[in-house]
Amino acid sequence: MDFRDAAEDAAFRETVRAWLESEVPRLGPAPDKLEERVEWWRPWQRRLYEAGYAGLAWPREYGGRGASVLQQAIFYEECDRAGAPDRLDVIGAGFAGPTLIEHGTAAQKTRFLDRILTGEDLWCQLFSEPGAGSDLAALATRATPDGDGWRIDGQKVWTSAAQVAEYAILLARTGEGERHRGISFFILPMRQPGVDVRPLRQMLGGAEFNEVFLDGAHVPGDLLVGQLGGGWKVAMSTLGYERAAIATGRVNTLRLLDELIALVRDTRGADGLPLGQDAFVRQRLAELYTRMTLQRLTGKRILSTLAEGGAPGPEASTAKLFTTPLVEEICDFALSVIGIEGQEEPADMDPARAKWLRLAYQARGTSIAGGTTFIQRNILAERVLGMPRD
Amino acid sequence: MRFAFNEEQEMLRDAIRVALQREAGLDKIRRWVDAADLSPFDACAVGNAWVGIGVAEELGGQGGGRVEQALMFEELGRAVAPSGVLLAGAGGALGFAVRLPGGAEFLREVLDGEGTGVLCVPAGRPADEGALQVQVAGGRLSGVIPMVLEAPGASHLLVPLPSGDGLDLWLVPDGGSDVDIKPRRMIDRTRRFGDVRLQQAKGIRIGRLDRGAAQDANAVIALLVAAESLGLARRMLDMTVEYVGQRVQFGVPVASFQAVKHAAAEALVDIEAAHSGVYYAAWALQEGQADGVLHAWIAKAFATEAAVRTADRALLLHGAIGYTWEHDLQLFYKRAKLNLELFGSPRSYRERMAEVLALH
Ligand SMILES: Cc1cc2nc3c(=O)[nH]c(=O)nc-3n(C[C@H](O)[C@H](O)[C@H](O)COP(=O)(O)OP(=O)(O)OC[C@H]3O[C@@H](n4cnc5c(N)ncnc54)[C@H](O)[C@@H]3O)c2cc1C
Repeated sequence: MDFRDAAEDAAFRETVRAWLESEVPRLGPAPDKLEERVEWWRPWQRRLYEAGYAGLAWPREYGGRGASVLQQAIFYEECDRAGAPDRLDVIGAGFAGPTLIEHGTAAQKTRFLDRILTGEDLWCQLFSEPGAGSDLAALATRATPDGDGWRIDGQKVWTSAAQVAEYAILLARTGEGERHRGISFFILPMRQPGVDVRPLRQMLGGAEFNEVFLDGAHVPGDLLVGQLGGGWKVAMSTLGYERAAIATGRVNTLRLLDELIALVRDTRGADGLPLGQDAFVRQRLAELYTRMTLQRLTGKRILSTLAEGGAPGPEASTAKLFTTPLVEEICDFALSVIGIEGQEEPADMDPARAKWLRLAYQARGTSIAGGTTFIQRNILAERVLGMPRD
Repeated sequence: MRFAFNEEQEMLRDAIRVALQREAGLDKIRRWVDAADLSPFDACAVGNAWVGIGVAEELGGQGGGRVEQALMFEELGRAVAPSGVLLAGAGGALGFAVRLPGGAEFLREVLDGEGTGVLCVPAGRPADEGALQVQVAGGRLSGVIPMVLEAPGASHLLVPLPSGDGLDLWLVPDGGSDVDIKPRRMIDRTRRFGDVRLQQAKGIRIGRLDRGAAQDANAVIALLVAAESLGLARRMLDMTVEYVGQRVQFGVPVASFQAVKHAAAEALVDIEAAHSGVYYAAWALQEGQADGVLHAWIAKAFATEAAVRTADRALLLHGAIGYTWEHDLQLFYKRAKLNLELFGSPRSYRERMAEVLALH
């Protein structure tokens, strides 16, 4: 056990910090609308790429830096600390890229990975369907051989960021009847006539996920990932990366706690006294702080295992279940401190306050996406604790 | 002892439910929300004489007491109806004025059956705290009252000003240049709010409520919000049970998974407890029982939290479809979150309860 940065990691941290401190303040505010935010974010991603900070833990031959996952984690920590832009390429850089590194052909890696890192290509994930949510293996979208490739017909739903994506990772049925065995994993170019993206409004009003209608869309023959009919295995590693991304850092809980503490410091109770003197508030904050600390330590444990080339242990499976309710409760507590004004239309609110509301809703989405809370519990009980399936 | 509705109360509830389905169905509410105009519901509330439920007949009301009023609010919650006009008007302004000798008649005369009188207090705090930021000099009121429920569209504001141990009630007509109302948009678009700025606004002092009377008046408002949250929770659970019974995953309705059943069952546990609290408080307030106010606080703190828990359970049980704008769950979800804070958070009422418990 040694929780200090190794000498080279400490040096790396310092370099990154200095770089971010000079670069981040030059950015203007992020636009609200996803399409505009993407255009605002791209030049930033390009700068990261040119400075050598994109794809830190990816292999050098595909545009990465071949650094350790620890340095990658240090980089993201420093990004949060500096208030760097949210990553808009989570699906590409977080799930699709690692899946290609693990299962893709050399040609696929050469063709796609570098463009993920430069920010040129955003990706989306075409897994869920109207009839296949928790039961992903029930998916019905078909891929039929068509010339040198496949013709895709079916409907996908809840596809985040489809409206800004160049490529999708796609699950479609190539076999007959069987559930898991008949599924293949493809890369689908999104900008083509057979792909129809229709935005769906989320409960808070923004249209960040979509329905995607696939009507004779074409996948070239060289864009099958893994074995024909072996897509389930590939998809499971994608979902593993998705869970890990949610658990270890999509939302920085340390920063949230800092902001919550600042909010409490700035607020007086109904009795006119500083809220921070209120026994209930003190207990609640200390409790949330405890959970944040443990959540972050678990994150470090997962990273340490990965850094040594090991497979994530049971702690990785618990992490999403520990993290999601924590984020919900931190946000709900902040909203309770703000009071009824925290229920105002977010566009009319002070951005620092609107953030709590948006994140409170987003956290509810996270408890559904990537396998609902109940499905995660089933996975823990069955795969980790070895209990029988029901 | 009898803890059940009588036949008349059941008939009233059914009549309100049917009228709401007919005149304020979800399709209509969505249309009103899209047009940012809730006035069709105001007309519906007047047309059905709901404004008068719980108001004595000699005051021109429909009679009935707090139980009837709570029943109505439970139904309004079930329908996620834009009930603010009933809460700030009949429940709020009238509920305060009625405690003054001649107060209700006075209010009625002023309004002449036309305008709406709205209780002008910050909607995030218990109403018996009054409008803290307002000063009065020579019959003129100045100050800002943030987040007043139903302020946009009110014809008269009933402003309770803290004075000594009680509240002085001032009536201020809107419309003049000395009253400025800035609408505030909420994520729950089925409620109207506005910041009220009074600049030397001319008011009439119509009387004074002592601390007990002010607490009683606030307790009714707390009760009505609690009853509405109870209705929201019941409807969200109904929607959820129906949905999970139809939604098939893994070859079976998802309702057959124990985790799903347990979450729904836990919601029902919450809801039934809330029901007990709401209707005891309603009866106790009506009968002037000594513990009526305490029970209104209990009901407000518990029922609004139970509705929020039910909202989150309902959302999880619906999966992604519940996370959309198109699905009606969001309307109920947002109202449940708003009601948590409306006229005093659970914390503020628990703090009061702890005082009553004389812990030190
Ligand atoms: C914000 C958001 C973004 C998303 N982005 C994407 C995306 O980019 N790409 C993509 O492919 N998908 C995406 N999804 C879809 C997501 O993966 C699914 O919503 C999720 O898998 C659940 O499926 P469902 O919504 O159909 O719910 P259902 O599977 O219908 O579940 C309904 C309820 O039943 C419960 N349930 C189901 N099966 C069981 C069981 N065996 N045991 C116990 N309980 C069970 C669930 O927990 C849930 O409470 C997104 C979802 C959200 C909310």
